[in-house]
Amino acid sequence: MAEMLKVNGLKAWYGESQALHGTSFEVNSGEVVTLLGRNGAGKSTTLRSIMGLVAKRAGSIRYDEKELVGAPSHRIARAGIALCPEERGIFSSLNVRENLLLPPAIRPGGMTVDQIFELFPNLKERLTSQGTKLSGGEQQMLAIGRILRTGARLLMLDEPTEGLAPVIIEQIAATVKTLKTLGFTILLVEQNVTFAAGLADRHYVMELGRVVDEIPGPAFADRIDSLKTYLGV
Amino acid sequence: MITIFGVPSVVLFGQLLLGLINGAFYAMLSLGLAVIFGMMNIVNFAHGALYMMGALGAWILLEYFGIGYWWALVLAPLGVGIFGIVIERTMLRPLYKLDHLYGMLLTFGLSLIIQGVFRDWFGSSGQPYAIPAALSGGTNLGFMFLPTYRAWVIVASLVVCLGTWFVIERTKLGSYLRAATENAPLVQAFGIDVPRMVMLTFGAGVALAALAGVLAAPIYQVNPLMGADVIIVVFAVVVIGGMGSIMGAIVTGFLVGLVEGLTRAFYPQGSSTVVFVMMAIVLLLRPAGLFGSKPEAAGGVHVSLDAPAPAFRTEILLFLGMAALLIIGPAFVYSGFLMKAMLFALFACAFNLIAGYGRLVSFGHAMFLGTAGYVCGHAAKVWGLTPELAILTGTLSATVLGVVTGWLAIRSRGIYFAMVTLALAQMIYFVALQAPFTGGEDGLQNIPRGKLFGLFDLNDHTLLYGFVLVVFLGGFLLIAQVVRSPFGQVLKAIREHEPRAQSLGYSTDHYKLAAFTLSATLAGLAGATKAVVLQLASLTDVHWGMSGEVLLMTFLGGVGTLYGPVAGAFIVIAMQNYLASLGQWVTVIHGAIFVVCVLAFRRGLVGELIAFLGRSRKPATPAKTPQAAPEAG
Amino acid sequence: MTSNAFRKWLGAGTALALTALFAAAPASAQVSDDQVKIGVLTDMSGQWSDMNGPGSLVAAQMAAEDFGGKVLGKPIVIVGADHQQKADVGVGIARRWLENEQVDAISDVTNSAIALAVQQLTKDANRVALFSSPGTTDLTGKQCSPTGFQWVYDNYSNTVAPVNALVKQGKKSWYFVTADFAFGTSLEKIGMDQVKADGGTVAGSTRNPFNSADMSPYLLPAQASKAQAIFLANAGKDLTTAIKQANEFGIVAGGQALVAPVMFISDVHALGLQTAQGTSFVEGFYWDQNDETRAFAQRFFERRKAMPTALQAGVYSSITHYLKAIQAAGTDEAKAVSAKMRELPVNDFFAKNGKVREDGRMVHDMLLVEVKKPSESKRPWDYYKVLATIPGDEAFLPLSKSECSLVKK
Repeated sequence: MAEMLKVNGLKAWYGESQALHGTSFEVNSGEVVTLLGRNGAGKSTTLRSIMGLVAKRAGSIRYDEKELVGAPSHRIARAGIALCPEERGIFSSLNVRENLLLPPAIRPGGMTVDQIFELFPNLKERLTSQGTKLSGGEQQMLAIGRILRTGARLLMLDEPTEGLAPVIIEQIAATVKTLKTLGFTILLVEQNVTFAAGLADRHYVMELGRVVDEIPGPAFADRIDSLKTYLGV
Repeated sequence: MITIFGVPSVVLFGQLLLGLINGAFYAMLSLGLAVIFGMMNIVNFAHGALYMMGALGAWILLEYFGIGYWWALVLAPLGVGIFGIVIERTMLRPLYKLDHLYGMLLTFGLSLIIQGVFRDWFGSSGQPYAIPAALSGGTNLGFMFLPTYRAWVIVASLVVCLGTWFVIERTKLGSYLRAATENAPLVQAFGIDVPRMVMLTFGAGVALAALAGVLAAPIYQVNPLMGADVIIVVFAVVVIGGMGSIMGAIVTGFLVGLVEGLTRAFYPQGSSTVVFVMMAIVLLLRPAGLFGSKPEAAGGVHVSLDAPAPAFRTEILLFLGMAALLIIGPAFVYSGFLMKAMLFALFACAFNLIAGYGRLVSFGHAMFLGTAGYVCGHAAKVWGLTPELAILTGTLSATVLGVVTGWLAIRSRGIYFAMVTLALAQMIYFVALQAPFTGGEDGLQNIPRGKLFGLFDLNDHTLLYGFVLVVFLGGFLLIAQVVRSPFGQVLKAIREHEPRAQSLGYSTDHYKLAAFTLSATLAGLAGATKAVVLQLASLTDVHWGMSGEVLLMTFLGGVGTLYGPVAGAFIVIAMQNYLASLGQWVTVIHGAIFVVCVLAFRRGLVGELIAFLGRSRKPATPAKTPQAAPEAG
Repeated sequence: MTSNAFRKWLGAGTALALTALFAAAPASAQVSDDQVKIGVLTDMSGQWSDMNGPGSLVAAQMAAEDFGGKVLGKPIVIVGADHQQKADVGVGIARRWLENEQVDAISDVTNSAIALAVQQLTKDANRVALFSSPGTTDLTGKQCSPTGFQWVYDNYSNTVAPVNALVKQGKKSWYFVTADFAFGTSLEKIGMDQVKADGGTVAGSTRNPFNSADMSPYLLPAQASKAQAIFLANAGKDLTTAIKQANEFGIVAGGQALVAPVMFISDVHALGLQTAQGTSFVEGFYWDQNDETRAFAQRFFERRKAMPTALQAGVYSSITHYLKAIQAAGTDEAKAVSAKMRELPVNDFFAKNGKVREDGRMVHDMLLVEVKKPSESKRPWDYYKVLATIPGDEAFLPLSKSECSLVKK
């Protein structure tokens, strides 16, 4: 499988304090890979750093042979990466339709609006509602849906199940599986270990701003105990 | 003739119409301001100066290039818009991550530079700009006479305002703008070049101001100061309407114009103050503004101004050194200059108490200086009080004013606080203009110096100087004491992280109000003493330009340092005195100092000096409190 | 040292000391600080800068040069400063000049409020004030000073004649639009008193802020009152704005007469003949009156590119007279010079048969002028038709009515 994303020795700072101390991992084309770890381990920071949203970064982020560590966010997006942020980032001053259509189609190959509606039928009914009036689950669908149009091939999902009811979580799991069959590559950050186990090809474990362990999907059940130590559960 | 409540209907409708026209300009200007603030979180103080550039641009096009009004409507905004883009790229961009205050200070400096340069070129008396032939003349409507051009202004501005609203609220481009206003980094993460969009938006906001200027040229005198007072009214409009709302800005602009017109018909003396009264009421009842929805903008990174406290012995030496210099000063330098500088130094130190140590940057401190001066002057001249009693009376009036305005203003934070204090001070200005006892434009003259305690004749220059010296040193010591006292420490804690201070049990609003009142009192002391020394209290002391001066002095010298404001005051007063022959260029220099200080020199002279000395010693870095970082995953 | 030698030393030393003492003592033919310094305090860049401003400074320099640059063998120094129409700036400059920079006389002083303050300062410091520009009659009335002089006009001289003339023509009801500071309020009072004295009525009044960009809110009540005459107690830009907007709003077309008592040729120039034609007012000086005035005006024009206004010509005249008085008095001590100023008649291109009264008022003939129609103007700045000459004694407030304490009744 072709290597799509290679992160090597990534360091990141928020102001004066260093959040990532040299993270290294890789994602191959078509994979679903998760970043696991407890709160504060640096998982979200990693995604945000890849996306160029952390002001001070060092190290290497190579995507499709391009070095992106110093690039501004909009160029990273145009390279073909999209982020579904942890806080979902639904704009309250836009309605659902505007939210959905906001990210521009940067490259060919993105899904059409109708295809997105097939994936998330309830969005279709709520088009004129104010973005933030949607339920948590609907907002999450919207957040995922809107990056599907852009033509990005690498989707980064930051804690998509956070705060959602089990039924919705099921739906999201199904969505991720569908996306995988459609050929997307997905980098997933999760605290919900069970959710991650069912979906991912590989897992990385992060602690204190570093990747400390790599677990292949099949080996997950065996390693669950050591995982729980990492997660402090 | 029909009269309505005693006013002839002709006058009533006429004033309403004139008010509506003013409202059109308010709407256009506050629209531009709201758009810029929404996108960039910068309160563009230079908006008034850019409006002026549009008007003057139209005049220049006509005078030197023979290009008429209709072309000017397009060319002037274009030119000024490009100018705005250049400013954004070169000066504003570095400021987005910083506290909004820096943006306001920088644009304030820019407005001084622009206005100073244009005043130097064109004088401040204004140039005539003829109404274009196609729009001249008027119609007699029966109940009033409507000049055609003024009708055109209303129509044109409505079209422009509604058009802008439509673009922002109903188009794709507008959705990008609105999204970027909420969460610019995320929008950029979707592939949209947000910095370029911001730049163009700023250009558009600026062009809007310039367009208003072209529309205004035939009505108002085209003169370099035409934007200076309008901008403060526009600030009040934006606070009333609510900072985030586009429609709010438009509706409030017209509304304020109408209310002003109405006031002018029934109670003309109140027409200048009514907008500020409206603002005060709105702040009390609906702090977010009539249409406001944008939550209080969180502050950005604030440069830590904490200078390590020098050893106590150094402090004493510094103080004695300053006192000694001031005692022998009159032998070398005109004592009048020294006295004026000392009093302004006291004013600046008082301002610094809340701006530097408390991080409450007030843009309206002149109201305390001036009010105390007037009250003291009145007490000495009309009531015949001896100077120390007159000064006391004046100072107390500043205290009372401080409590009232502080209580109103403290509800707002950061940039809103600055705008509210500015607007309140402007209200005081207009009250002073109208009040009979102040003498209005003439000023309160021939204030007697009298006999201090009934014994010491202050007309004697040496005694007067000694008195001023005592007042200054006393005030300075008081501030130094407050800063190092437990009260001062709490203030610093509040400045660093207010929620944390609150969680420790401190009623932060009370502390802030106390600090604000103390600052007002000391500013009042400076103003009252000044009135006795200069024997004059005038409108200059309550004008917002004076608030800008004290800001300048403090920032130049070093906010948050004890001696910074003193140094800054002496330098600025010296500039006024010795560079007076440069005329308008003094204003330009002031503006340039602001710009340079914000961009490169944030700690000010004394602050940079302290930092430099600190670096040359062995640095003992204290344990840093971890910055509040966003949730790390 | 022998006692003899010692006594010689003592004697020589004492003689030396005494000589030094006497040499230092101001002899009657001495000029203070070895120069005569005149400060021109004016509005260099603001509302009124065209009527005085830099032009006043030029006039002062011309006066010094024409006098030969020296008086009593000491140089004449001219300095200028911009008070920006602000009371505190003006007072600050005046104070510094008098306390620290050895200025002997302050000239021009646009802005009545600042002028009143300067009057007090010069009185206390025993220096001379040569007011050319301010209009308030208080300068020669309640607040007169032995060393203060008002040279060109005042609110009285400019108001009485036009009001008289118009009331006679049948304009009985008057509305006042008044600049809200010393100059305007003083002008308004004189105007109202005169209207009533002539048998007219005051229909109402409005105060406008000094330096108003838009005068229309204040013209509106004037228009609504339907008063037959509208008295514009304003000067400079406020005045020209008001006149322009009165045209814009159809006030002039509607038949109401606009009365602008304090108007100067610079205002006419700013308005243009098209707008200003037909307006009549009282002027203290017109450059195109005779060969003498034209000669001065030509020289002034070369330096300033504009014809001198009455105020600027007044600066020249008052300074020249002051210098003459110093010459005659043999000193620049203020009281002695002021006495000579009152003694000597004023006879130059500015004023023929001019005389300085006890109250400091320079009384001279005034001109009632009317602005020409564009077709009547044959060359640039050919703006006025002189309708009549008003003899000085009639134009100014008679001494019998003066409130000045220096006037012996």
